[in-house]
Amino acid sequence: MSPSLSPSSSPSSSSTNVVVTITILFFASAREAVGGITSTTVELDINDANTKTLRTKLANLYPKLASFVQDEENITLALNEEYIPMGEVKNLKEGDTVALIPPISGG
Amino acid sequence: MKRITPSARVVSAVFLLSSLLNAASALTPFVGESRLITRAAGAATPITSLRHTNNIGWRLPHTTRNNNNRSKVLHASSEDLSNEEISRYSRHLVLGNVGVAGQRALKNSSVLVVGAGGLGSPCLLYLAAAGVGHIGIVDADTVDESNLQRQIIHGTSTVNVSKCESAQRRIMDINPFVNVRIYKEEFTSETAMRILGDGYSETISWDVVVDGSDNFPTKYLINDACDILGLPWVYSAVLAFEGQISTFNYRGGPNYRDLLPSPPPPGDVPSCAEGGVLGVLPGTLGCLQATEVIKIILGMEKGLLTGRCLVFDAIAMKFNEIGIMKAPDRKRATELIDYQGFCAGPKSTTQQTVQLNKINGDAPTGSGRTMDEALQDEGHPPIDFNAISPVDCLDKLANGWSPWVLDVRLQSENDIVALPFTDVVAPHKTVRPDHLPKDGDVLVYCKGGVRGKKAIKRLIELGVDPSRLYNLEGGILRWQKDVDTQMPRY
Repeated sequence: MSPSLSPSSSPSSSSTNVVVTITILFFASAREAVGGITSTTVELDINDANTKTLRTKLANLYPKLASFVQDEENITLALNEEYIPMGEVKNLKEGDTVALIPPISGG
Repeated sequence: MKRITPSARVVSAVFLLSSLLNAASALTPFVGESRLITRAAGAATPITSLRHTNNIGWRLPHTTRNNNNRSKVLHASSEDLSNEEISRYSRHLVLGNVGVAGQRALKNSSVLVVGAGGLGSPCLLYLAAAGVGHIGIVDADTVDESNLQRQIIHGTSTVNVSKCESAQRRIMDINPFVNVRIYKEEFTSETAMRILGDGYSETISWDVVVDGSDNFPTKYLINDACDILGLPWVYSAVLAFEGQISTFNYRGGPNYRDLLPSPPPPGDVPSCAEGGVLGVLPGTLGCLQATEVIKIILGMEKGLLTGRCLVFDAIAMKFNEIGIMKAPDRKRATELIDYQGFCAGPKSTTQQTVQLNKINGDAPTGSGRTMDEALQDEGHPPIDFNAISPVDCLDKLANGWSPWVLDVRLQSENDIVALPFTDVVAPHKTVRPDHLPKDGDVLVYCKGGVRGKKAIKRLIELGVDPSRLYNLEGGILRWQKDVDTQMPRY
């Protein structure tokens, strides 16, 4: 059975480019919550690749990160070194970098 | 001018500059100084077009300040550099972007530093050494031993001395040409407008404000007050191995509310006292703050951290950047609010009464509570459980009470000092009923008493009978103070 004749087969074979790969950078307590790694890559469905689905995906991948990424007040998101204003959902492209920067206040 | 210095090159450079300076002063100030400015190729225009002095030491009377619209009225300030100052600042004077005009701008400038702690210490040291002529310091605290790991303007000899006085002493030793004004008081919604609005003196208003605070309420307060007054300020925050720095409200540019429109829930972000901080980290960030301030005063606009926040990661040894845009719907602040209430979240605003904004609350001499702990303590409705003071606790123990003892601090804190009869260490955010036996009393303790309350609240929510739970009031710090003074404090 060739892939072109099987529309209901697994996503990986249904089309040539179904995901976008996003690089994630973790800072401060977000880094602690993911076990000390500084960065990772995640794949999002190309039809639904935005910062909202990214938050959900990260919460599922890293349960300890859930409280950070699900509440906008708990973390600053920056897309390709640009701050994403609260409440804004950005569409993500292949190769984008999203930084997760929890607020800090020490001095 | 006849002073002998080890470097002949510097001597001649100083001599040259000094001669130029003297020649210039024979002319009218404006013409003479303009020549000096054009001498240095690529020299920026010092600050003063931004605020109320021009690039050659003219200064607008502070009463003419009206946000960003400055009156054109000028009056001369006769601030010349003495021979001693010329020698002292020779490395600046030979530097293209500083030179005599820049050094004079520094001498005529005035900078307010809110908080003489981890960030404020190095920043103040360098501002003083650089010859910033008028420095204000706001801090109500006294120097504690636990400050000295990073607050390098203070020393062992000034433990228990007011931080303002300690910093002032050190500054006068570094550079007696600097004028220091100290404010031994809290920076609050009640005091901020007076301290910021009055300036260094009646004729010298603040040019730049430095954020050396260690808590969210003070950062929002500095932000809004500077927004109202049209003052640029240099933000920084540090924790553990990470720091952030940005310049806010520079010529109406983005501010703190564009980076963090609303504060994180209280208690979610640890203070340096709770989370720890690498001592040199605020040193790095405080030096970067001083660099920003000096560049603002010198008018070196290119490359200022306006519209971007630098994030320093000392573990990866990398700087990252976040671009910040001014939110289109953000309105200019018109009045100050209750910042403790604002940062305590909507649930508790009704309970807020008059509270103090502690600028640097991480090393209290008495209670041991951090800013965040104090905030959390006062920002939530009371929970019904037993509270027991260390003295009463000791009595009760001596009379046969044998509760299960739960330390809800971090393991790293338990390693420093703990009650010898501790049964379990479980940080307050992770505490679960299975950390306890099925029945019997439980004594919960932390450093200052507040995390204990949070842990008890959590345990009650998870179904533990409140009557079993006892919180050690004032935590291990009060135990040390009232019961066992041989224990270390941290």
